[in-house]
Amino acid sequence: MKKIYSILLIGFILSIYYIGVGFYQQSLGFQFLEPLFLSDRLQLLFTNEVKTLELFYFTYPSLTQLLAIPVGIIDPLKAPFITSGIAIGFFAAHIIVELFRKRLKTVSVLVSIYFLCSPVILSIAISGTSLYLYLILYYLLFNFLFRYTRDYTSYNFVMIGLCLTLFALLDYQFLWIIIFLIPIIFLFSLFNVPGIQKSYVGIFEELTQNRITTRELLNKSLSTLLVILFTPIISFGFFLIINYWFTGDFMFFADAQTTSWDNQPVVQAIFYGLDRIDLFVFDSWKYTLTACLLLSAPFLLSFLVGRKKLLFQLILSLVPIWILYKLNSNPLERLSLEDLIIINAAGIAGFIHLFQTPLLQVFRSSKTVYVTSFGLLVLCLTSEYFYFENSENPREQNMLAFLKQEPPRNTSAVDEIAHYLKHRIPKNARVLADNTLSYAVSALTREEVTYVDQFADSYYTALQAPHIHADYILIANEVSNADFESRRNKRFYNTVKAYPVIYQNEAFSLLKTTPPTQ
Amino acid sequence: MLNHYRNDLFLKSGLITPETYAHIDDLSKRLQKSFLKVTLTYAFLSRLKFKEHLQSLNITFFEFDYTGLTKIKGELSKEEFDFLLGQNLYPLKMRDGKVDLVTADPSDDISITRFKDFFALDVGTIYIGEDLDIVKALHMTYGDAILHKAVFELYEKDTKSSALETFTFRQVIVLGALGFVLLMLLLFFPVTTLISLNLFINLFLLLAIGFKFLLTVVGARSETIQKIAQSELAEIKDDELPFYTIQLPVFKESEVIYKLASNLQNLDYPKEKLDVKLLIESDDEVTFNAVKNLKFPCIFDPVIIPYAQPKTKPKACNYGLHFSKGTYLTIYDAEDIPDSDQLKMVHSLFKKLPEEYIVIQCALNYFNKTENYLTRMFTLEYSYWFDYMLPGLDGLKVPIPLGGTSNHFKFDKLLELGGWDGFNVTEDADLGIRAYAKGYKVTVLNSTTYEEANNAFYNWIRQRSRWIKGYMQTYLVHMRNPAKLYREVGLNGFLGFQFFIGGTFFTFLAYPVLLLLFLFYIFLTFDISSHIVGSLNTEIVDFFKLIFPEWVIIISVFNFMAGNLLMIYINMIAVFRRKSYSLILYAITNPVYWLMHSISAYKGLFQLVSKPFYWEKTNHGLTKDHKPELE
Repeated sequence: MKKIYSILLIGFILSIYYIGVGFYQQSLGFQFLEPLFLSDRLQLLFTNEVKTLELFYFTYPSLTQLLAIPVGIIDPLKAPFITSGIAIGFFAAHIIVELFRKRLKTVSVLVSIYFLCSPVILSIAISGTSLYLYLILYYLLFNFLFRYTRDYTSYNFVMIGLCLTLFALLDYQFLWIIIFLIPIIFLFSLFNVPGIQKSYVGIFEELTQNRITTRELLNKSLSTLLVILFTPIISFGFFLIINYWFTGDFMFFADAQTTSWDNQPVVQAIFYGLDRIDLFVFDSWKYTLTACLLLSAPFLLSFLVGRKKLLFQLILSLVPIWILYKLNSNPLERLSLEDLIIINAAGIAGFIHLFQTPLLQVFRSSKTVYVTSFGLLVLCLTSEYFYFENSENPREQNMLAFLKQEPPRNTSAVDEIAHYLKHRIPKNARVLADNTLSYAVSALTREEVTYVDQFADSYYTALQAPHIHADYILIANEVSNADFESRRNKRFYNTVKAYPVIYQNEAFSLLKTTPPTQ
Repeated sequence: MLNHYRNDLFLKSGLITPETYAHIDDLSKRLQKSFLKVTLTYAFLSRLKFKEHLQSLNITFFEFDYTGLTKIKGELSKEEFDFLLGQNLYPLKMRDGKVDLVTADPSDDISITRFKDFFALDVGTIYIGEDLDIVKALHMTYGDAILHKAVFELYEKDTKSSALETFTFRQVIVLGALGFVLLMLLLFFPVTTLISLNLFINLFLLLAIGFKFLLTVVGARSETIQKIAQSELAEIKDDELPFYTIQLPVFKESEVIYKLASNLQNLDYPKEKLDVKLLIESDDEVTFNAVKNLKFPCIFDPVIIPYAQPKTKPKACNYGLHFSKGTYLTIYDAEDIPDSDQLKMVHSLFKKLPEEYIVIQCALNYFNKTENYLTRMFTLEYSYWFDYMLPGLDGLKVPIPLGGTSNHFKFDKLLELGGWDGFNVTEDADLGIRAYAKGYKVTVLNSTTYEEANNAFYNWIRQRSRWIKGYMQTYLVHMRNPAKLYREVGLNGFLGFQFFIGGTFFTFLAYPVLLLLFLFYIFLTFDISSHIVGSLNTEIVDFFKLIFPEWVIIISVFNFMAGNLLMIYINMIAVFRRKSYSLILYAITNPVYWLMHSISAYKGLFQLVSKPFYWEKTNHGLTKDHKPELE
């Protein structure tokens, strides 16, 4: 069968599997903030005529939203996890087929089992978060870096540039990796010089003994750097310009609380019923080291197998460097799967690369390889499980709860208030709400009620006189003035207290806006 | 009879060595051509040297009056015509049952005897003329039937494939109806119509950008594909190589004839298997005289194209086809420097490919890449076009519009296709599509021919306006019956044709309009605009908001940013692949280069209506870079 058809068939089967598990997860009441946020934005994008441009361009990560649009047209609520299921399904299929075509049938079966059972992969595929994009893009980045060491073609630079460009729309901070890529690019140019002895001595000689070659090397390195950097940097630059052009703030997408699911820090505390202090960690080194070790089985093994390949090792060394950088850039925050998944991705890409080198013959002929592969599979599945056990990230704890078939960690408050709004108040009633805190609720009820939030023209006037512009007010409990949009209008919070509460649960209160009687 | 002996004329005089003499003699017998013909057209002796030698023997040359040439019989058969060309003989007139002849070789009794036998005629007076004058006189006297074929053969064989008729009646009706409907819509639903138009243009551009990106990615993968390995070339034996025709259409290119002569010498292909035709227009005295006065031997056989309209390169090439004999045929421009092993590579690839592959397009690039801004940008563009775009089309199995030169054909299939369309000013692009439509395939080969990049602005505009006009012609010709085209080239081919041929000129035409609208819109969003436009500002902003709703702005902004970014980037990687690192930063100025394209596009559009077959001549030989900077 042609490769493309094999990928389509296996990808289809795996996607169905992930989507099926995703539906099951939702039926048990498991929810995640990011997909809810995305669903809310998709619904707004399709129905709202106000701030369309802001919704399209400044919802961040833009890439996740963009990819969810096709399924979102059919069902915005299910779009995030269906998209992630499909993407991971085909990603897995690509790797399985690739291995199978290398006549590594046993390994491809083991990898299939990994993709079906891995706690990390399963959680990524069914949660509807952006994690699937992180995994795929990290993998592609490393894949093309490794591939360059095999064929030395500019095609790989095009693809690396493209990956980084997509990162600008997913997590712009990852573009700092470019700094760490510079020495590797320099070595790429060096290793591409015809006739160079590919050893430390050869490199030293080339650098120091021949001035013309050195200049040529420098030209090539700088040009390579430009080719790799150009699209990500300029795309990101354009993105900033668009931000400035329409909002007057270059970093609007990162600063505004309405643009991303976690730009309002308190929302996680509300959603998972936590204290805000729980979201920060102070023993980050120990925590991160444990997390990294638990995810690094394929990474370490590929490092070991490719120990005699200088460029391979240097490329893999980007992973610890990046994690160290991330750890230092914000020491109070735990590194989550968004950052740590780079270890898995690099490990998988590393193995795929090694399978395409002369080592392939060894892999094919040695029975130890099959035993090792099986051992690695068991180790991966176990250590990933323990990663979740060790994780203090509420989202990851929620993922673990599903794997262990325990009750969801997310509060049921969102579902309860959504149920109340759907069934107990008149259809299309106007509800004044701060979208930065209540997007999880509005995502589930946009069809039933009309929200007067940041995406409605009358929002700011409604804050002044809620009873004129809204029938109800939805507020989060236990939220200080500083958290709420009311800091723009400090009187609002006090005023709002005058309205009668008609429904309240552990996270939200619903008030009726009869004219205040004070 | 003639009173000179070949030995004296060539050997004793020292014009050629005895070994060469024997070699020429052998070739002359094998090729059935006169001794002098072989000597002059296979680079054994320069024309000027031979002429000077004859003059030193006090031989005076016959002066032709090209306006008063007469035929010795009604029509010559092709065989008779070839015989006269091969023997360098011109039958001047019949007198008393005898023919007066002009020959170029005063020692060539053999050809005279052959003439007598071939035509069964007696020979009267024999004059000595210059070989090139004889060739010109022969073509001007007997070339009219072939000339007619060269111009009209395609039209007569397959009217619908010819661009002689720019717009068919049906196209005029359809375009008129569309225009009328558009006017009505603008009258009754002005805002909706303007938004729809805006959206249509933007969506088309978006898809065209996407398609170009796809081509780039697919094309980039071709870098690893080495279709012919050096080891395969080494295995080829000269005896096994077929005849190879090289057509060299020239017009007023005396400057580059000297370079051409030396470039051809560098080809790694047995000389006697080369059939090089230098196609000179009969009214091009400059080139004609330059060839006559070449100081060094050259390996081409001049063919003089009698005057006829349209005066286009395809007409000249079609005419040249009738005098070619190669198994394969290629076209080079006069200043081209092909990779020396290109012909052998093509031969090997044709042998490897299935029968349906009838054309191989080699990459073009420039030797004067760093001469000035234009040549740098041209190099960026060509590097992208031939290293990414065409391999991308090849990879996606989409019809490949052939480049102007270095396209290698199977000769018999080229004839079957009816040759080039003499009325299409990008006859090569048209032929590529036509080949696909007839069920044949075109592919690309990573062997490069270095050309001279246009280094003068107006010259560039002229050339580019012709190319874009040609794309418009090609689009109109093949879209006469869209359903038929779809059936012939399939979905991939059809969409590729729309975005690649249609998209190219449409993009250039739309670019400045959209850019202006877009920049004006941005200008209006800034505070300064209210000071400049004054009270009108609000009304204009309101109008713009009306025709640019936010969702259209989203697409426009994306198009503007992504389109320019992509074009800059693909140019960057193209020269990166060619290791022309010093040109990479010039890619950033690509939007300016695009505006130049737009100027040319509007010029081309105007000419499409006013002078559809007019061939905007590109002047070659303007470069001051005489030392090619090949990598």
